[in-house]
Amino acid sequence: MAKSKPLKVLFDPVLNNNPIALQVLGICSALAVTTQLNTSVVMALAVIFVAICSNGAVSLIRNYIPSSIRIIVQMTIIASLVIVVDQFLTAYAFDISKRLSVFVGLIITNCIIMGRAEAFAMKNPVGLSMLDGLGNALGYGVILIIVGFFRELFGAGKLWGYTIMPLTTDTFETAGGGSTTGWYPANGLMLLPPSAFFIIGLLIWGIRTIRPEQIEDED
Amino acid sequence: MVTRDSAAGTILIALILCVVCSVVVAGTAVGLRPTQRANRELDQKKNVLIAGGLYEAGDAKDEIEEKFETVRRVLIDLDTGEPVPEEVLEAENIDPATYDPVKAAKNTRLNKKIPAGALPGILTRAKYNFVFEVMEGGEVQQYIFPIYGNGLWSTMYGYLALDKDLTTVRGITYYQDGETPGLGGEINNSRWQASWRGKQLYGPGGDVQLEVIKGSAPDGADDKIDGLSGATITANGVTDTLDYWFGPEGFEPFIAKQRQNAAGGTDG
Repeated sequence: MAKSKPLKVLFDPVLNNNPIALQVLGICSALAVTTQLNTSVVMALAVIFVAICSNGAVSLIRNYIPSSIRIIVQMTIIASLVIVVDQFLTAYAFDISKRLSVFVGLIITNCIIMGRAEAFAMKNPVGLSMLDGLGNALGYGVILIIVGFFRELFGAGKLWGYTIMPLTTDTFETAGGGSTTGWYPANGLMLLPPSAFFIIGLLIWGIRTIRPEQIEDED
Repeated sequence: MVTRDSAAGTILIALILCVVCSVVVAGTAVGLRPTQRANRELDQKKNVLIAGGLYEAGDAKDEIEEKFETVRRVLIDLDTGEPVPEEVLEAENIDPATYDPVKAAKNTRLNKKIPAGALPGILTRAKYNFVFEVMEGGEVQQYIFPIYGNGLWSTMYGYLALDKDLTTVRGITYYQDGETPGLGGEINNSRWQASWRGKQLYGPGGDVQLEVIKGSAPDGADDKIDGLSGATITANGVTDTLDYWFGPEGFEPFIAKQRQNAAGGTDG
């Protein structure tokens, strides 16, 4: 890797080198938490926090970490940060933390965070490492939010919990005192994890159509 | 001076790291515990109110607290149907303010075996559980019971509200489950929950008759609830939950006591 420029470090992972779209990392949680927009956003924020802090902390002590235990040291730092995030969510965003359930805890196993700690923070100064964490987590978050947007819109006819397309299965009261049903039949597939595969697949297709240099060579 | 990659250096770094991390984690957990507990209590109150049809969308903390003032929380012994006596509370070292029946179900001192198959997948329940009584003018207007049972993927936790006649359903809510969104997750659909209102839990023989069936319940059938399409196992789980919790192993002794008291006039 050439000498890293701060802006490049920050924005490269968002589009050019997106951890989900190009490196295809962190897919599990992208499938699990994206049924709604607000869980996607909270998950993205949690990952952003953990990535910045873990990259910062690992970079700060990178010259003291014995190479034989470096992975477990990174893991310990990441796990501690994730527990802290989880505790804060149960204290201040109780409803959302209930819906995210185990997936906040599973940030620990998110390859993006561990990967950036090992590949970048172990070799670079603190400031740059934190930017790298922010950039990669943003790249992850952007995809999460896009997927969440489509899944909530087409799966539940809502965005951020507000009805955009009234469902045929819901009844609404009209101004005249009567009631009416919506016009949009919900697409149940969108609420199931496989739909995230389709959306991510389409996204990857889209990005690689715009930027053909991302297409891998055939084996 | 120990070097970084020597055995001593490795152990030293590992030790320092562990101490620092445990202080951070423990500090956060202890510091945030009061807020988390308050959240959980508020969430419980909110869900009890939802089951009783007393909660309105958008009610904030203050409104929930105010509405909950009409609700009396009684810790009862499921086997006798009586409130747990003071001396038992002291002997068992239970503080009703912090007692959690779900946790107690795992505590061998405070739990009881569930007969095999009565509540599939769940082996024990707490001996003592809460009943919420909604009061108005010195009389109980409805009773709200905590219930849970396994669906397809998860244990589904909820509340069922019964009218003061102790058989007419006033409402149901589920506050925690991991069923498939769109299929079993439809137990959280407000329209489906609303269809429970007015159903009769107990049949003429005194047994639990209410069940979730496959397909739509016929018009006017007050002992059947519409099925959830694509979620037969979740629906069966809901039926099992009702059978167990309102049967003789669950709240039936309590319910029988209340009926007796009502029939015996004011001497109860």
